[in-house]
Parts: sequence; C-alpha cells; structure tokens
Amino acid sequence: MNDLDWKKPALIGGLIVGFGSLIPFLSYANFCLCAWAWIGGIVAARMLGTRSARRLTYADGARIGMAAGIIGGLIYFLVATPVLAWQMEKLIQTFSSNPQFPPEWTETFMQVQQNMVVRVCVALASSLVAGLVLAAFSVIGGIAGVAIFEKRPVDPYGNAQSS
Amino acid sequence: MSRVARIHSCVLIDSRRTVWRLDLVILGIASIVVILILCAPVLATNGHPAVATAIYAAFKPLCHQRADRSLFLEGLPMAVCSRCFGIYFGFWLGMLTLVLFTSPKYVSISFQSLVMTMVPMTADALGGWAGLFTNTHLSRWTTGLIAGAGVAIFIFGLDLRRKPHDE
Repeated sequence: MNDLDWKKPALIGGLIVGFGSLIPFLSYANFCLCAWAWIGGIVAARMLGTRSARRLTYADGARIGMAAGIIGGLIYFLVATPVLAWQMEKLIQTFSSNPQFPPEWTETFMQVQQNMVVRVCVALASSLVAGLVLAAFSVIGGIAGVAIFEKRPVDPYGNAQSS
Repeated sequence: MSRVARIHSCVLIDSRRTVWRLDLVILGIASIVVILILCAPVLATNGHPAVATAIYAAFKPLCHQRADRSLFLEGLPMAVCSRCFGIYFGFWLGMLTLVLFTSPKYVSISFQSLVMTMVPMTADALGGWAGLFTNTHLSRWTTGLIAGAGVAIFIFGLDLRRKPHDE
C-alpha cells in the first residue's frame, strides 16, 4: 500500500468509526454488526480507490480498513475512557436494574463505583477492548469497500486484481 | 540440493511462516474476544465484579446485551447476545479449523459467497423483526455462526502479504 495515498482516507474512515461509535443514539447503529466500523472501512476504501491509479486488491482494502480502524479505535479509547469513568454510575445502574442479575450484585457494583482506581481501570479496560473490536470490524469494512466500489478492469499485465 | 533450490525453499518456508504468524495473530485476537464473552458471567459469580463489569462495559457499545436474547452461563447472561456470540464463536471456530487443517492457498471464497453466508442471519433478524416468525436462541446463534465462519474463510483465503504484482 506504500504506493497509495492512504493517510487522508484512513483519517476520514477513522473519524467515522470513532465518532460514530461515540455520539449518543447514532452509536446504536453499532448494535447491527458494528455498523460504524463497517461504514468507516467502506468509506476509507472508497476514498483510497478514487485516489489510486491502479486497481485495488482486497489486501489493500484490508490494510486501509485496519488503518481506519486503528485511528477510530484510538479516538474511541481516548474519548470513551474518561466519559465512562465519569459516568460509571449510569452504566452500573443499567446492569443492576437488569432483572437477570441477582440482587446481591447491586452491592458489588456499588463497590466498583465507589473505588476511583477501580473505576478508571474498568473504564480503561473496557474502552480498549471495544476499540480493538471496532478496529477488527473496520478491516472487514475495508474489504467490503473494495468489493463494492472497485470496478476497474484487471490490468492486462496482471499488475493488480481484486480476487 | 543446488544453491538456487535451497534459496527457493528458504523463501517458501519463510513466506509460509509469515502467513502462519498473521493467521495466529487473527486467531489470537478472536480467541481473546470469545474468552472475554464467556468469562464475564463466570467472573461475576466467582468474586471478580470489577473485571466482569469491565467486560460487560466493553461490549455495551457493540451489542444491545438484552438478557432475554442472550445465552446464560452460571445463571448470568453472556457479555453479548446469542446472535453476536454466534458470529464471534463462528469466526473463531472457522479460523481455528482453517489454521489447524489447511493452508490459505487451498481456501478461497468470493465476496458474493461471503454475502450469501450472511443471508440466513439477515433473514432470521428481519423475519423476527417483521413478525413473520419467532426466532429462537438456536436460530440466532446458528445463523450468526454461519456468518462468522464465512468471514473467517474469506479472510483466511486472502493473502494479505501479497503484493499486487504477485496476484
């Protein structure tokens, strides 16, 4: 991918992944197979395709999806960690109000909520895992973007093909 | 063995190792995700509420986590719903099977085939949403499993190291 101008597509894709997953209500789209990660990867692949003189391969799609996913995952991690640590009460209220959780859980949840170090650790760990999963789905989005938008014919010299 | 043949075989071995390493990284990430999903309820009931809370919170932005649509372990719902668990588990199982028993050069499915593996899951979700039928844990999990395995086969078949002029 070194011959391709991938920085701007990766950045735009990453912004879509990151902020789409952070903005309230819009982020519910992620319940559908991490839709924002797919969209970010697809947009990045589309932008890369329009900037590229050659036909993109699925591997290019995977790489640009991964780049967008890493940027998006990082944005998510940096923004979600302090927000989650700050709003831990709200999150714990969601879990403790779940009828499936035993009543004694509310007490243990409260212990998590009251200890600041544990709160920050919980926020850090959960944002990191969520960011990694978003990055993984962006890779699939990048591949899908190449499959959807790359319509250029195969180079007669076999320089690049997408399957 | 001639010098050229020896260099050629070294290159082949090296390239096979690179493929293996990449596949193992993907398999490792998938394994961690599946283990985390399974561990959340187990840790919760075994005196580790902080870790369990972190795992539930990690998957909160990625899944609705509705208890009535989730599989249970130790009396508590898993970190994701049954459909999402099917997808993650199917991807992990598919990748594990492929890494253990085959090589990327023998595995390849088209993007259209990948889309086809997602049709049962989409039909199950849309049919349930439209009230045409009532989907169950088994239908959600199984259709998710097929989609996840399809993605694993598709990604395994791509040789991500390959340069455009090699294809």
